[in-house]
Amino acid sequence: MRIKDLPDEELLLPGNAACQGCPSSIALRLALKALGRNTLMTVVASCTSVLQSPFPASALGVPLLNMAFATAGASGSGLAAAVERLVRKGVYAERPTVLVWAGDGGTYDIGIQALSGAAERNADFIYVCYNNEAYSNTGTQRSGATPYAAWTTNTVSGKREWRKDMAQIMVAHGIPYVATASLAYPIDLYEKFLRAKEIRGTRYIEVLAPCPPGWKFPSGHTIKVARLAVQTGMWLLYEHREGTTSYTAGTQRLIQGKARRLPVEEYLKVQGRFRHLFHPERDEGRIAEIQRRVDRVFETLEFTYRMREHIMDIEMLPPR
Amino acid sequence: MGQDEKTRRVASVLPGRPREVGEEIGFLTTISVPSKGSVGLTGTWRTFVPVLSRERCTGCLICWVYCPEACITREIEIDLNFCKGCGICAEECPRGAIAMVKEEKR
Repeated sequence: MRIKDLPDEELLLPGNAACQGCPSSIALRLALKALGRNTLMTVVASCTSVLQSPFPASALGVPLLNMAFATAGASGSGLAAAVERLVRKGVYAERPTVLVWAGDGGTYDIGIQALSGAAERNADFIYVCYNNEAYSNTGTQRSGATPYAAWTTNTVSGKREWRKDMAQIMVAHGIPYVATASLAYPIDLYEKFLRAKEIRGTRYIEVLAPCPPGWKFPSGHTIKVARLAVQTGMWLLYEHREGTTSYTAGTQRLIQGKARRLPVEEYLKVQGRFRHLFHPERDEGRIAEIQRRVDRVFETLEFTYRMREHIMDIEMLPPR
Repeated sequence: MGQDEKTRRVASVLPGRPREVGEEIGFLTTISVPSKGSVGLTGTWRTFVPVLSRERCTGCLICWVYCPEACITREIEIDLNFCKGCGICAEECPRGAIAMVKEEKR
């Protein structure tokens, strides 16, 4: 699969209300390219409910429900049940995909109860959390996804807590498919949506969405920041299915030692929300703390990879 | 209206069939219609305008895939009516074929 093999059809139409360089519209555009026109969408309160534009026009070429903040899982379950009924009645020639689109606020904090319930019932939808690590739509307030030491309007000297790992919470639900994706690896993202489309049951995909006004960097750097997040190990790309996790794209290359992992500083210093770590003086303590966390994660991943290779080598030996 | 008629009418606005702007959708509703320029010509938001150099362009489509506005075609023609001038195409172009130039006063 290469970039030129991606489909032509645009289901996110130009002239919408998104900011310049909006990561969620890139993610939405690629996701809808993968899922196609035969998709039903539900969007909870987030930037995407702004992006879809006011009545009587819609910026999206698919039917869409605009729902309340906490209802991502519940409205997705409802749509999935309705689709099931209409399929049984023979209304559809082909079963449509139900796509639930929520931000990190609607997933990590406000929507987690409904999502957890839906995942436990294994409701038949693809849940996408585009994670911009704050409530960016209302002017960048702290959320459960905001990373350690990041500035938001209510953590002015940097957040003191660590973010929670929602993708791992979804893995713990035992749903058929969990994946994380990055905008800087569009083919990887596209293929994950294609794979999710083939599976029935709750599928969870989380996309890291570097938000120019919220993270305070120039609008042209969206992809660059998304790429740095993977290259420094601050964001892991993987997919989890049938009980096994496989790392993909940039993260796989880091674990296999095919690419050098950059220091986290490279990722922090391009964003204005971490400016207080470098100005007026360098905050070595907090930078080192972030680096240590990433190093610890990668030590485990690299060790597991080497062990697996080693075991495969032993198994390849001829029997004595 | 019988149950079958109701089902048929609901199904007519469900996916699987493209709809045109201003198309009759069958019953009184608050459903929005997919259309380009849903908040007007967003090209007016622009401060910097992307300028493509055809000699340098190899047609790798990286700008096309990353454009958040979907306003670059596969033939690398930029729709300046809607381009918000974010500069992602210029930043990501591996050949430096797109330059961001300050827009002249309109």
